[in-house]
Amino acid sequence: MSLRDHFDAVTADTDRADGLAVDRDKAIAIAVFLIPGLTLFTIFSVAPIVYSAIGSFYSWDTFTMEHFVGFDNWIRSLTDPLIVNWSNMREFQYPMGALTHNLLWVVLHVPASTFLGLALALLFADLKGRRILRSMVFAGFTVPPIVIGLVLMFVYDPQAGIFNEFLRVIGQGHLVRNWTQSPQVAIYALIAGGIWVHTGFSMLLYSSALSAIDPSLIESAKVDGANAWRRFWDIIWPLVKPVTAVVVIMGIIWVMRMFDIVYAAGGAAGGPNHAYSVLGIEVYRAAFRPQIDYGMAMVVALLQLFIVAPLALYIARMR
Amino acid sequence: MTSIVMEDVSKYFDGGQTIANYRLTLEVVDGEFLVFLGPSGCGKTTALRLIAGLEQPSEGVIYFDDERVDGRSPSSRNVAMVFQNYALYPHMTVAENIGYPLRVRGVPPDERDRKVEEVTTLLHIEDQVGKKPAALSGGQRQRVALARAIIREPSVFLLDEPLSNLDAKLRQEMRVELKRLQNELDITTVYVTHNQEEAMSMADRVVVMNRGTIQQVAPPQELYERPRTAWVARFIGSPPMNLFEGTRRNGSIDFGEAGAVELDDVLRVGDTVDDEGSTAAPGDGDTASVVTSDVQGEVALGVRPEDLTITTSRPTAGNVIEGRVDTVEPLGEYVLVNVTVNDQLVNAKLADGTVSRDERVYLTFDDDDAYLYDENGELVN
Amino acid sequence: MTDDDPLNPTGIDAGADTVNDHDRTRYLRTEEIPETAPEADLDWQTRLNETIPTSKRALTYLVAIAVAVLWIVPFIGLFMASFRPLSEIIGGWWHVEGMTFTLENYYQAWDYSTAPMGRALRNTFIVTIPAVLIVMLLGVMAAYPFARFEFPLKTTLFFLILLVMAAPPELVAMGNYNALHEFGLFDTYMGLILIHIGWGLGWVVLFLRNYLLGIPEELEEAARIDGASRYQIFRTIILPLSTPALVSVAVIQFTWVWNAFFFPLVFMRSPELYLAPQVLPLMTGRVQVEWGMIAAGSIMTMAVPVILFLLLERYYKRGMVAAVAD
Repeated sequence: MSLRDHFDAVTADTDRADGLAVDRDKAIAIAVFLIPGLTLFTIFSVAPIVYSAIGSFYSWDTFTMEHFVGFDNWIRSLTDPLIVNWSNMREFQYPMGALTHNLLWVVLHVPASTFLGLALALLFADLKGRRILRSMVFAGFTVPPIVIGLVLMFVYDPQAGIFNEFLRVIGQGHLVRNWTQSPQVAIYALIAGGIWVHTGFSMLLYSSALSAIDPSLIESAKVDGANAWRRFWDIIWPLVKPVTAVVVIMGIIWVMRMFDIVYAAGGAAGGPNHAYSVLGIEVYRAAFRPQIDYGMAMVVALLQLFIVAPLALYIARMR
Repeated sequence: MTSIVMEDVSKYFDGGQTIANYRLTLEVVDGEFLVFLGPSGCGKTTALRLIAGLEQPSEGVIYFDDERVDGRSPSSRNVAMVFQNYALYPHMTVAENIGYPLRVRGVPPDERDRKVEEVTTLLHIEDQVGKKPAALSGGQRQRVALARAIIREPSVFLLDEPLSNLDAKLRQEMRVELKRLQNELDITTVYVTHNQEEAMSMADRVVVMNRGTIQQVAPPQELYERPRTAWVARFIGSPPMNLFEGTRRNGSIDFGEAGAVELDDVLRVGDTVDDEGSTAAPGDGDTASVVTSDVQGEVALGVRPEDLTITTSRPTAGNVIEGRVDTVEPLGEYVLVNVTVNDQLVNAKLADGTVSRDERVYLTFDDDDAYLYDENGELVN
Repeated sequence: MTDDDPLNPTGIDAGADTVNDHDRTRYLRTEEIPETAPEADLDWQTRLNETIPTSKRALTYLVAIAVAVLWIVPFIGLFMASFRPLSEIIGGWWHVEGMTFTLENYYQAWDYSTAPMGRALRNTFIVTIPAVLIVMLLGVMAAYPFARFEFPLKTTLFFLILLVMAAPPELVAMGNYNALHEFGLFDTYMGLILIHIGWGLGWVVLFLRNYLLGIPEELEEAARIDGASRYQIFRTIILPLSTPALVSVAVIQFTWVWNAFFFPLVFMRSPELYLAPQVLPLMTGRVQVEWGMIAAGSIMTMAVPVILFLLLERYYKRGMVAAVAD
């Protein structure tokens, strides 16, 4: 292992005992530990973000940066009906624009998966075999999201889909349709699928928060005379509330990054006529599908970051 | 004003694989301070939780006064409990913690505040009411837990090792305070501890438990003076009672090379008991018959370290057991001499230790200070 | 207080039911305690009392199991479909009578003409394994100074890591697309591996730093007094002690890299380099969706991370929780 040789080579000259040498050795050690990782991190993560931030103010000839154009890309992108479609929003017609769709995901998906996650965590909390039960619910989160998207198409298929079969069984046969390809309802079908996958993650976080509660607190509340309802609101809920912030923010980050599921169901257009496109899809389309528009791709990707970054920093500060 | 009766109460866990308590039968008298004492895992905490209603008995019945309470929830039993780790609600202030039992019972806020003020004054924590539990010291948390328990005047007061998380000095202080509080409030109290000093100093009666069952129920003094079984004898006292293992043969106990002790001398204590006490089982209460018959068997003779004296020359009369000095520990207040008797190490507490290591010594004791335990570990005399 | 006579022998023979009139106490010998609970002869009332709480609990179990099963129904459907001919899938995979079992879908997917799954899975392994191993090594190395030393720009770096963790992968796609072209690494395994490493390092460093903070510094001080160099300390103290965290990193990073769809989509353009997740959406043809083949391909693709999760579930969950919640 060459790294080890390198270590040993550096170790060899730590023998000098004067304080300056110790400081120098420490500095070298820090550099040896940090530099390999930081180099890759800088080249492939930090630099491209900086590149996008700068590039968003330049005009582009496909992949080549040309000249400074100020806020042109920003104005053009943010007024693009693919991002926010004001006229369709007034009529509540899809597509309403990728940003609007993303925010709709936030509004519907996040509360639902948070609530369901807590409910399942509480339901499984003191059962035997809870590990298996939790794993069953959580498993979807470990499946490739692209597979999740395909599974959703399968579930919502007019003939082969079990959701439509369910509708037929409960006598709602007239509702049967290809849910992921029907512009006006597809987004809700996908959001339901998102909730299905993501609830496992929320449940996992809540489960660990619940198991961190000292059982004697619950017992003490029982002795103090609190019924199950009061025990939940007076003891359990206040103690898992901090986790709720994490669950909600992780949920928002997850849906703001939504790409694979939408791509699987609707391709690079984000559904028929962009009916349920999201910001990630629009970045991909602008950057890598004809007509290539790098400027717009960068603006939209930065927009995603701006929405999520304060939340991520909030979690970091909470720690 | 409540008395507690447990009748044949058993508690099994893991579908009967584990027995936490087996056929406990016990009465806690109204206003009594009863202490469950035993080593960890002896079922004392489970017994307390059965009384609290946090566990339901697998078998048996529990009465509070004449009311049957097993199967009832803790809240319907009007018990208060102090947990080992205090179980203070971390998100509530001290005042909210203490007021919580009243809040869930729908006591109006102003009355609640008045009560909180009352108990916080009683427990000298009136300056802490606005703080969260995390900001309190161990002793203060302890007081908050006590305050929360007494605020609604429970009929039964349950404490699960409440002092075990405090340092020695604070524990001493709280012990006195708890006892005083219990005397003032006159609430039936059940207290669980593994610390015999705590048990002996606070209890009206002590319940000694081992392996899920009751070994002895007695006031502290009696527990010390008449341990009912060899197990209790070894458990109570510091250092614990010495048990000389020997064989009972023809009216004497044979300790092999260490000598022998005449049995009728030791059992004379028992004779007096026999005159007034009633013994239900045939045979063994009747000491005279035991002595005269040729009963043989392994027995243990118990003598407390403080009741042993040591001489270097063989006494001519009395009970004598021979041994060799192993170590001498001068502890200031007294000297603890460890003596080897037939490969068995026994302790003697002496006022001064003039013996030295490896010296041959003779342990003597009065007849009244000896206890004879049969092969089942039960007290004979 | 009972008026106990200290001279009263309480139960000389404890074997028999010696009840002391004074305190109703009965002593049992410890030998009398059975190893397990005796078979209780219950009358109907106690029986009833015992079944009432259990039936409520049984209902909870029933609901819990129903919910958990409902949760995996879509995957059961996918699994069933992968073994059945298309005509039966169209008719509904939930009809189990007259079911035909076939591996045809798997063969079809394995040899899928555009990009055979066999090759795609191999490609996915080629990319995932180095991306995980290198991230672990570089991650723990970088995390160590973050946990233990003060150095210039530490706070700035910290902030950058957080920023990258918040950023969507789309944000780095344009820059990296141009960079890989520049380096001549576009459309190569190496290019994608490097992208994954650079992208994953952020969370790995932060996660391992938090873990290393929990390792007592005394251990390292003891090692230093014993004469170990900083590198020896790292190798012999830090690495072994962080094994559980490294396993968590490995499982989670493996799943993410394996499951990643966007990066391969952008950076792998030759069909012979396609990764498994990339191939799956191609299978949804224009005319009739080949559900059987998609299902088989999906099962093969998801099998790897799901089995890994099931094997190392504890590490996975613990890591997930620690990564976001602590």
